[in-house]
This record gives sequence, C-alpha cells and structure tokens, in this order.
Amino acid sequence: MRDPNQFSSSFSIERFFLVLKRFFILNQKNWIVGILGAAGLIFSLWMLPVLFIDTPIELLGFKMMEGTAMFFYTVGGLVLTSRIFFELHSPATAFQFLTLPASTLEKFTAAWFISSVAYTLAAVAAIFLLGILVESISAFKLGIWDYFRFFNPFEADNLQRFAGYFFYHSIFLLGAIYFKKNNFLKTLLVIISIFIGLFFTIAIGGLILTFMMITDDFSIEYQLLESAANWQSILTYFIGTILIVTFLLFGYLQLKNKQVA
Amino acid sequence: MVSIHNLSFAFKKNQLLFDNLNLELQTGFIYGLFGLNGAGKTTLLNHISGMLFPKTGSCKISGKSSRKRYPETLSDLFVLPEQFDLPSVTAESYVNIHTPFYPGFNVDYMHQALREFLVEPDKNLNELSYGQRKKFLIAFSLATNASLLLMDEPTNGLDIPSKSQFRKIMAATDHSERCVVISTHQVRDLETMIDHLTVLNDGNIIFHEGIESIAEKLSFEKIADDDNRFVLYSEEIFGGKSAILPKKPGSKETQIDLELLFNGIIHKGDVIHQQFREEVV
Repeated sequence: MRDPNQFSSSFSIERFFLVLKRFFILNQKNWIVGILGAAGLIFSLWMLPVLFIDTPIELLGFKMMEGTAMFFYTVGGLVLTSRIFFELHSPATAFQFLTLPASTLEKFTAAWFISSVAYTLAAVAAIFLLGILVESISAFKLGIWDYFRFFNPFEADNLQRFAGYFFYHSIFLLGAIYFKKNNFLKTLLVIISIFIGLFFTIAIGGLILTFMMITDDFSIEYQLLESAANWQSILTYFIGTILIVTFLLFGYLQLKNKQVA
Repeated sequence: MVSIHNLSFAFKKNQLLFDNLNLELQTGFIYGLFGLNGAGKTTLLNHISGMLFPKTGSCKISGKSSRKRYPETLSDLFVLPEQFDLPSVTAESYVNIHTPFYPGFNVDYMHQALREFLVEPDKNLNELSYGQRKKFLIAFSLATNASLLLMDEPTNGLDIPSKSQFRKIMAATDHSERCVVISTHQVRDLETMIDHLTVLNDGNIIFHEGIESIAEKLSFEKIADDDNRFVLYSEEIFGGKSAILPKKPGSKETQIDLELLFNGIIHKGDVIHQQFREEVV
C-alpha cells in the first residue's frame, strides 16, 4: 500500500510548480503566438510612418511606441488570463483540471502567478528586445548611437501600468472562472457597467451636494478637501490593493466550489 | 474505500435525481455499474470523484469527503470519462506533465499498455482517433496505480480488437489493492471482468450483489416454453426462453447472463431481489 503521507493537503511548493509547468505547456502555443504577434504588430506600426509618410527612420525612437507596447501587454495579458481556466467550462475537459491531484489553492496561485508575474516578466523581456531592435535600426541608419536608450520597466509611468495590469488581472482571473463562454468580453462588459454605474452615482451625488451647498443646508470644510487630495494617491493604491485581494479571494472561492459543467 | 450516505442531488429544483442514496464500495473489487439512460450513472461517478457536490448527505473516499478534492485523495483516484478532449500535446508529453501527480505511476506499464493498444506515444493526442485517444487514457488510468478507478463507458468507441485488448489488459492487471467502478451499457463487453453488479435505476441503487452471490442464488438457463419450473424472469428466444431461475441446492453451475439479469432486475427487481433477501431472513 502507498504511504498516505506522501501527498498532503497543505500547500506544496512542489505541486505548485507542477501545476505551473502544466499551465505553461498547455498554453505555451497561444502565449508565444500572442507575444510574437503583438511584437510583430508593434514593429509594423513603427515601420508604417517610414514606409508611407516618408518619415525619416532616425526620428523614430522606441519611446514613441512604448505606450502602444504597454497597451498590448495589458490587453494581451487580460485576454490570455481570460482563457487560463478554459478546461473548467466543458464537461469533456473539466475532469482533467478538477481531479488533478493538487489543492485549489495550488491551482489558483499557479494560474495567478503564470498569468501575472511570469507573463509580465516575459512581456518585459519581449518589449526590451523589441526596444533594442527598434533603437538599433534607428541608430544604425542614423550612424549615431548617442540617443540609444533601453526600455526601462522601472520608470514611474511603466510601474503604474504594471499596477493597473495587476488590478484588472485579478478581475479577469475571476471572470475566467465565473463565466463559461466569452470570458474576456463578459468581464469587460461587467467592468464597463460598474464604471457607468459609478459615474452616475458620483454624478447624482455631486448634483445633490451642489444643490445642498447652494441652498446653504450643507457646508464643507475646504481644508478637509485639500487634505483628502494629498492622500488621494496613497488611498488609490490602498483601495486598489484591497480590491485585488477581494477579487482574488472571490476567484479562489469560485474555483473551490466549481463543479463539472 | 467509497462510502455514500443518504446522498441527495438534483440538477433542477424539486427534481431529485438521487434521494437518500446509500452505497459502499470496497477495495479489491471490480464493480459493474449498470443502468438505463438517465439513471444517474455518470452523475454518481461525478459525485464520487468530487466533480459534483451532493445537496445533502455525504460521499467519502477512504473517510475523506470527496467534495473537498484533497490532493492526497485525487492522487489515488482516476476518472476515465465517456466523452473527453485531451490537450494538443504528444502522448509522451502528456505523460511527463501528469505523472508526477501520481506517486504510484508505472511508466513501464504505460508503455507496455500503449504497445498492446498500438498507440504511438510520439503522436499528438489531437491527431489520434477517438478510439486511439480512449485507449491512451485507459492505459494512463491503469498506469496511475490509483486505488480508485472510475471508468465511464470504457469500451464505447473501441473497435472489436481494441475491446478484446482492453479485456486482456484488465485481466492481466492486478486489481487486488484497488477498487474499479465500470459504468456501462455494453454489458457483454465486461461480462467476464466484473465481480460485483450494481444497478442504478431512477436514482436509486436497486441491486448491489457480488458475482459469487449471484452464482449461488440464481441459475441462468435456456428453457422450453412448457417448462413448469418457477421462473424469476424470462425472455423469448428462438426455440424457447432464456430464463433466470432460483438456484436449488445441488443444481448445476450456469454461466451468469448479465444482460438477462440486468433486464430482469429492471423489470422484476422485487422478485429477483427476494432471492437474496430470503437467506438474511
């Protein structure tokens, strides 16, 4: 008979890496095609002005494509995240994932890790290489290497974009488990609906507040508002982190209670 | 090995599929789980494997709730579903990804079974025919050495030589430390394999007896139309009747006709069941 303690219920880092490896092998084709496709598209977009508008290549550094590259990183990552639990939503494939000998926490953290941390590292590497390629073509054509610059993922703008990706990623990961079909579009629709709802709530609240202030029923300490503005940035990150943890927790619970479709 | 107590389950509200279902499955047996379409065979297997949760009651594997899906429970369990899709990787790659999850996995056995089934391990699984993929998954399931093996219609989609290969492989494999549950409609494919018969009808276990016990209590004979003996169940065949009779002391051994027995249980369950109750009383 087998040793019953050979496999335990507590979190196992070994099983976490096995699930991670499984996710990678089963999704690698999509991810490689996605990353190479996006890199090719960005490169083509960079080349377009050169080909059609007759813009001198030396005027075009990678800096002007950095925003586009980060946009593709975000959207591409969210699309791939939406597909990470594809096995769950068909009775023909769900058995492989649901009965895979690993805990829900190991499966969920592995999915989170590969679609956020590992994906970000791969995307940064791809953008970095693309940056070198674009900068090299420009510098080579110009014959001047002084303006050559590397893509810096630690720039404030980029760090903010990464933070934004990690925030939306937690919502799309939840959507990947919750929705059975068209996970990306449905999650996007939910986010848009929430934003519209929030916009109207704030707008109506603002109107009521303005009306109350006009009729002198309500006064607000302006110093308090000023102080709140100073805290806005810290508050945004604080609330954002709480929301990420909440969405991840909901995602984990969804996965734990998932039954065959 | 598997203990199901008062399990109730419904896909739709107020339409119970299982109502207080009880079942015990032991290690060392191959259970044939038979039932009409929609009886709940696949649903029962999904409950045992933890892929469905009971509304009330419990389903435990070696004392642990199956719905918790503990890794140690899952590493000792394998489900072979009737309909399945496999990822677009080679058979070899599939084995490499999944074997570390099963501590008892026997790679040599796997290769041997694939050879027997004539499945090429270096081919992409999606390039294989349905029957080939099924044979691959059968080989994988047996190679896991899991103590609990749940097979849903394992011979569906297999050609005649493959069915025979399946029976050969099953017969050559040691099942003394495992519990195998085979759900099927194709009774004749598994006749020689199973050693316990479980019949599910309308969400209830209506028959749950070992083959030895069946052989002791029932006799399966071809009788003439004017035979006056007490018949539990019979079916018209060319030149007489195929019948299930109560076994008398000293009467000759007969081959169990599972298909006839299944039909008898479905149509005259009480009469047949009475034969097994009598001794207890």
